[in-house]
Amino acid sequence: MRLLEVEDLRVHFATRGVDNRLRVARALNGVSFRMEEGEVLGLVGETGAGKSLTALALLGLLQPPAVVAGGRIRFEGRELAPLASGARDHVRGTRLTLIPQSPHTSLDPLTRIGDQLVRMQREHRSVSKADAWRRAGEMLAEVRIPAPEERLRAWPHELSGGMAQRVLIAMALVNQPRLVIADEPTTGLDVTVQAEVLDTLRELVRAHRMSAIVITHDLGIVAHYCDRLAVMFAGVIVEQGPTRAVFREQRHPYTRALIASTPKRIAQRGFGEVGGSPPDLYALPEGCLYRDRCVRAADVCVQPPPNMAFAGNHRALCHFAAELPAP
Amino acid sequence: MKSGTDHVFGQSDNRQTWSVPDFVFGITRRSPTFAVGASIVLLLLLAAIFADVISPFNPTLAFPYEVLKAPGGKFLLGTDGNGMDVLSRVIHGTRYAFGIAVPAGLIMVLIGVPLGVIAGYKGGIIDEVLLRVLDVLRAFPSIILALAVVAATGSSLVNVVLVIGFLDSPIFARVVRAEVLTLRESTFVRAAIAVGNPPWRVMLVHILPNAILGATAQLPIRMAWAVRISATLAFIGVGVQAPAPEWGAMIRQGAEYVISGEWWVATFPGLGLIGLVLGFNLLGDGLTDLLDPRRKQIGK
Amino acid sequence: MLIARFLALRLAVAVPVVLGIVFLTFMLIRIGHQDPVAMLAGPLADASTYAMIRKELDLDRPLLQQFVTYCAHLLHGDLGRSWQGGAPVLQEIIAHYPITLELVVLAVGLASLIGIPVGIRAAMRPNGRFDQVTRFGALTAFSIPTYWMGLMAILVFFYFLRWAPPPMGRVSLEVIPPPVVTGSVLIDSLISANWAAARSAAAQLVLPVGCFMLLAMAPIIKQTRAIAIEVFGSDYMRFARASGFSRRTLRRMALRNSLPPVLTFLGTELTSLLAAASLIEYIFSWGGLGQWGLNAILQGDFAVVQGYVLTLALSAVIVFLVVDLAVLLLEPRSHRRA
Repeated sequence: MRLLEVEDLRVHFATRGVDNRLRVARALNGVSFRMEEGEVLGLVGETGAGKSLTALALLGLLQPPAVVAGGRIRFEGRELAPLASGARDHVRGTRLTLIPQSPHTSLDPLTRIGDQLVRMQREHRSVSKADAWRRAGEMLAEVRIPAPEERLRAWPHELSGGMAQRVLIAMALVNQPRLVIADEPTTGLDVTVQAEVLDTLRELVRAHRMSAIVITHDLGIVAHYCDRLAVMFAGVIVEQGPTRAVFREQRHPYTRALIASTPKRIAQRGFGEVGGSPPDLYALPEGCLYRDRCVRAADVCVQPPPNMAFAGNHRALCHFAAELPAP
Repeated sequence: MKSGTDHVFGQSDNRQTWSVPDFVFGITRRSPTFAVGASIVLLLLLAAIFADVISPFNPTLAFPYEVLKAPGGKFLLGTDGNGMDVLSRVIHGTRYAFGIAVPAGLIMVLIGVPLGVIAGYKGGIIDEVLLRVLDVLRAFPSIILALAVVAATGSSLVNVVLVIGFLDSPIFARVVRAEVLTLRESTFVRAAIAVGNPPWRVMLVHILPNAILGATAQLPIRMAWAVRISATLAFIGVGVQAPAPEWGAMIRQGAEYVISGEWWVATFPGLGLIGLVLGFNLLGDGLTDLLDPRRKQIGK
Repeated sequence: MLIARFLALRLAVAVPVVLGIVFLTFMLIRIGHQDPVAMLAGPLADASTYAMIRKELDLDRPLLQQFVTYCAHLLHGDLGRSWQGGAPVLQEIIAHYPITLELVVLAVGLASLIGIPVGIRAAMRPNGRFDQVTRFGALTAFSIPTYWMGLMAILVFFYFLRWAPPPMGRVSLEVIPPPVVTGSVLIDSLISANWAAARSAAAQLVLPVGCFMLLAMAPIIKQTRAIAIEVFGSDYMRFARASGFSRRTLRRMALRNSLPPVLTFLGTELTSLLAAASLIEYIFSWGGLGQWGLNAILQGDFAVVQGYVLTLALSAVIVFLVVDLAVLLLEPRSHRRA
């Protein structure tokens, strides 16, 4: 069954300068992707490419000055509003949950973690406090926190970073969601802790047959943990497909540059050309947005690039996607 | 919101030229508070400059046969207990208000800014002393302190200005100090130090302009306080003395008539006072909005 | 254990501040050119009378010596005597303090009950209509001079509408005042079941408390709003919104997390209002600590001014201490810091 379908999502930011001119930053310019049940999708791209913004739209957290300029989001066959409505929303928090970026600051500092887990459950369904507390303990055990019963009584500031991140995973999973969005879940953690936390997350996602979107800068994480990969640039997904396929045949020059810039590849082949800044979102050019930085750019790139499809639902937005460069 | 929007706002677009009406309209739209405050202050400033032209009478000219006339007729806002025209006195009151607020504000800046920069950047004894003084001021209500000092040193206009200016400069210094502390940790200042700029240069060239910008919004708020407290002193009887047309002194004169119903003597100078204090406060509040780059407004 | 250490630490910090304030006041009023001796002696006194009074008041020795003597007396609980009435200052403070405290506590209490929820509501939509309106209202209230507001309240509610009793003290002259127990006429008359006095005391309280409350509310709203905006923008509130929590839960979380800093602010507010009370008391002939201190400042009554300022400083120390203790209990994080 199709779990999530995002179609042509466009988000703009409208601001006024002191000169009273309206200025529009086009931050998402037609994001489309689909997810099946049980799939883990890695969303990568440089800062400002729109990864987190896509997640915010899915979670209904977009607030002014963000304006939804078009597109729709269907989750479990139902339409989701990308803008914050303020009303209670049972989809978010039960069917679709978030593992936030900064573990320490994302926990309510004045509430014991057991009470936070209880609150997460009782906000969405009627369970007794005792049952919720018991389930909270089980969840902590599932995310491999030692002595879970005691930990329930801990304050957030008493936890280490890795521990806090596990608590947040427990919070995200306690209501047994179908889709979890992990927004750079391991930034700021030690590399060893990172691996442990991610392993735990993967195991739980598999065990409960959930799906996940992992937002990250780290291609290593994607290669290791994700079934599919989507590469974002300037508010569009320039290439997406099964992780293996994309790593094997990089159809978009940006993906190629991104993969070439991982430490391992640099060690193998030396520095390539990845430099340059993202395009000015206030004045996006027509046609391909990557063309100013692209090594392959040609006259035709002034035209909007076609959405080329390859085997295994592997797609790329490039005029030259069909040609693979010589290895 | 994070990475996405940060990036978006990091861009700037200066390609178009803008016109003065656009600018005025834009500021009004972005911070109506600022626009309202600025208009009030500007209006009252004009009233102060042209007080002699727009007042119907000399503010200290007494009409002995027209004492405590109700508003209307020859005296638009009535006359006070000496038979002086309330309207003319209220208009001339702006001169006292600006005459105290502007020099007092100047003293605060001249003392507070250098003190704040040095205390924040150098730390050490100066910082320690400043912090202790602030501790004392926090526990020592400013009204009582100003009152005690003015009562002790005498109630001339110059004294009032000096006392208000000096009393408020440590508060100003605190605001600047806080700015400096953040600036000191910022990358561009570290870079300036790293390439070998001497401390005085870092302070003057890199920190001072930015700290002043950050503290600008504080100035109108402190001037509002200066207007307020000088009027309070006059009201209690230790500041500017009647029959000088000072708002606080006028309210003091009018206070005794409130219970017997001659309300206009105290009411109108109070309205003038509120107008200017509110104007300064709105100005400061609006400036905070305008100067804070994180708070951009939505537009349709 | 924790609390005892915390208290000791706080007091150690407070002692130099209080001492500094006492010293500052002492010097200030003595350096001033207003000579109390001239006022006491009258215009006809000769030089020997002056010298005698000066000696009697301990004003003939160097300032620092005078200060040491004053401090020594302080340690014995002797704050000196008023030069006008001759009553011991300590006794006067004890008599006047509850009168002002009643006014301030009522005003700050009411102002917080209204101001804190309003500030949080305004923070939920910064720059929304509610926020704009309350912000403008708070700034306006903040810009009105206390005494003028008092005068206008008297004008409208006493002179024009005849709703309020005459602004002459804490209880009408027509009722028999209750025996002094706590010092608050309202509480005292309730204790002694003197309903007429209670009603009169309550009626007298309405205008000063109302004016004072408006004055106190503006900064409370402004500060709560700023704190709550920070809280609403925090990662944990974002996570709570992403988790689909109800508005009620979000508001409760925000209130709970705003409370410690708001409480700290209320502490400073309470102490500054204790001083600002003098103007309200002056307008309404309230006869509390503020009016007493104000008169002393105007008349150069050294011992009373010193006693008054010392009372304010000690009140500030105690209030800050209580607030810090409350925050310590509300804030699990501060345990480690303390």
